[in-house]
Amino acid sequence: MLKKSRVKSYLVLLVVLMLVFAPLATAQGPAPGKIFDNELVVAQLDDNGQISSMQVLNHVRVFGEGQFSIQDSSRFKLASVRNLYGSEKITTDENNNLTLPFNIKSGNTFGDIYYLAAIADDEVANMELPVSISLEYYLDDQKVLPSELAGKSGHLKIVTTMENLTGKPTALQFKDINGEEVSKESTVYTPYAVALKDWAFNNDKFANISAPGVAEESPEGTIANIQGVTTVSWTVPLIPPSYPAKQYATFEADAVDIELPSFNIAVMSVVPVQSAIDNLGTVQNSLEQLYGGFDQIQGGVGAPNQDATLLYGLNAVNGGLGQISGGLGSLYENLMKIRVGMSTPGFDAASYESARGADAAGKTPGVQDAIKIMKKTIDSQLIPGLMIQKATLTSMENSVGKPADSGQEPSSSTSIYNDINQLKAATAGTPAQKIITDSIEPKLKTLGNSIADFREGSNYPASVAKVEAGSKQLSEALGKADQGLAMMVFGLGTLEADGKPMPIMLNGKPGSVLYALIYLQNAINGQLKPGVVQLSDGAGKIGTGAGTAKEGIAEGLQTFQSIPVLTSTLKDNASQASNFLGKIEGAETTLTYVFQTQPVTQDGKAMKYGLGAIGISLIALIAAGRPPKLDVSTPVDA
Amino acid sequence: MKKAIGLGLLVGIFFAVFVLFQEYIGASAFYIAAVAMAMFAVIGPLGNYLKTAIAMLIGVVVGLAGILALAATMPLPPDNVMYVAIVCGISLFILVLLSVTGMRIDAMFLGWAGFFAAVYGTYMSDAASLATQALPAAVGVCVSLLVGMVLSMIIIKIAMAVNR
Repeated sequence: MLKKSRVKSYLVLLVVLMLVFAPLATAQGPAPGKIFDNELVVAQLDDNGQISSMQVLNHVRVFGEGQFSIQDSSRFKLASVRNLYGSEKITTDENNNLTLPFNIKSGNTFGDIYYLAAIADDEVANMELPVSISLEYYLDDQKVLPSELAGKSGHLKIVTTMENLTGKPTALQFKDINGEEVSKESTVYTPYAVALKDWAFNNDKFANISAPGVAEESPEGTIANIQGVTTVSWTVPLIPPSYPAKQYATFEADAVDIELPSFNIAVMSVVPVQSAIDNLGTVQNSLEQLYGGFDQIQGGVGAPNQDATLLYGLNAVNGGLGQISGGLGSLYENLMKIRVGMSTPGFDAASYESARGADAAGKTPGVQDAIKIMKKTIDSQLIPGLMIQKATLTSMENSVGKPADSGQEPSSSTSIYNDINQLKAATAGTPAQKIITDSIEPKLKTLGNSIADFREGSNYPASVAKVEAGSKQLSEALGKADQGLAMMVFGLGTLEADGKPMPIMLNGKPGSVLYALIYLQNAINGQLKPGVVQLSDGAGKIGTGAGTAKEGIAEGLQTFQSIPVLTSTLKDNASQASNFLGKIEGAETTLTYVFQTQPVTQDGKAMKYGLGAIGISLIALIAAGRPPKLDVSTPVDA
Repeated sequence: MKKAIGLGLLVGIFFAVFVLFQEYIGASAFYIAAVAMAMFAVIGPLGNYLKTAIAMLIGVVVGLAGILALAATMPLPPDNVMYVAIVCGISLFILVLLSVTGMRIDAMFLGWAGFFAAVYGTYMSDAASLATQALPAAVGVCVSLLVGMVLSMIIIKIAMAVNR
């Protein structure tokens, strides 16, 4: 009896110890390895396309061995939680925290729990999902509810509209083509792709099936007709800026006796990797080269005050042309002075008065005019004067006569020598004769010789004949000088009455120096300088255009340059959007939404007919299926 | 022989018509109707076909309750044989208990089995869809069973009339 009592005490003690240490043993158990949490949010759409109920199928996989209690949670109030494929008890508390018990037996590397959490209806009503899905059904272009389609025939059109609602203004920071940090605000979405996969249509009921697309609005569906069933699928990336945030998918077919299954519309956050050959890199490279080209153009065009640029050069050319024009003006003025100095326009040599030094109009003679006057004076006055002098001297020589003259009775026409010889003969032997011979005759001889020499004697350096010859030579030289000056005057240019050069063109070119200068100056001032100004303006516009092009390209390049940052941000957003219900600490999570449409069936009608058939059968059985009443009474013996 | 041919034709046409229009009257597992027809052999010419039909319906109802319990409250396939076994055992236990009320146990089993035959495949592959398909399936099985029972009754009546 005592032994039994002791054993009983030990048992009680053992149980108490187990109760005390059991939690500690659990708490000090091995930590789990990796945890994967895969959430599938199933939203049931009602007849109006609204979400009528929502459940989350949560698959939690824990790597390790032993017993673990994984803590999960729910952001929403839950109507129920059910372990789908196991018997482990999932407990919840008032804060919607869930405890998932794992018991991974030795030899297994991981354990799974699939639980289905039904979200409370009041939470569903206020639910804001990242992607909205709405379906519209049209029969013969009339909008109808799906429940109204069952059993009907006509042209069926189903439009599924999807919109990504996660856009938020975000500052993207990246380096532009010049290496400068750029902050660009852009609406960045969490990337979602919608898969409308394998919508199956019985070929007996649907014909002329199409899923047309519209560029930048609606993707075209892929259609596969396999063994009497046509399946239509769409993949719709709602990833701005590459794809619109709002798109729609269209299904059209001719239908008879319509029945539609429940369509699944899956939504998942993903940054899709495209297998298409990416030409963006080449385009970006080309744009960068284009930018560089425009940068060089802009740099080459430069500014008027920027050295070694086109505008600077054109500005210098413009300035140089101004200087040339100014120089031409000065040259013109000075040449004009020379020209006027050479030949005074309108000078009247006939009315020239030497005492005034001007003609009747008061114009002073130019060089050519003076030479003309001088030549005229020599020709008309000096040379005739000398000729007269020569004649006078000849007359004087004849009056002196020759020593041999004698024998004529002295008269007014006889020579002095004749008269002396007569006088000497008359006074022969007298002192008078001696005076005549020794004094008068030598003097007379000297006088005769001197007259001859003065007239044209070779020993006299300034004989009249020599002066006359010299005057003639001077006249000829002046004539040549006049011709030369006339050529010079003609070369410089004939002047008009107003003193301006006469515009003479020879073979299409200016015919005089002065007109050429005016012509050149006019060309510089009237054409070359405005041309350079226009060139400068044009170059400035090229520079401005290059700058504008650069800005445009730079903006376009910023789009390219922001792509890596944008992609990175999208991936971050995608990774953050991998959880819906609640996050298990340390778990890698994935999330998929599935919207299930209301099936269109004739089951309801069949049910009615079925119930009718049951009723009729029961009536038939009541009427004829009961056993006949047998007469079991025992005949009474008489 | 002529009578047999006539009888066979009649039954065959009735059954063919039933198969042909099974979708319109919501019947499922039409082959169960053939099994129900076979019941005339055990019910006999003087048997209670109505009571047998009601027993079948009870079997269907128990089967429906069992499959709903499996789908809604217990671990789902494939690793749930134990729970299927428990539900089946309890179901049959209930049917046996109900048989003491005078219901034919064979008919109740037939109703239960017919319903399970109709939905167990669905339960194994897509248990969630039973939420919407279980009740129509129950109605469909009931239709098949009752049509089979009516045909069974007609057969026995014709046979009795022919053999009289």
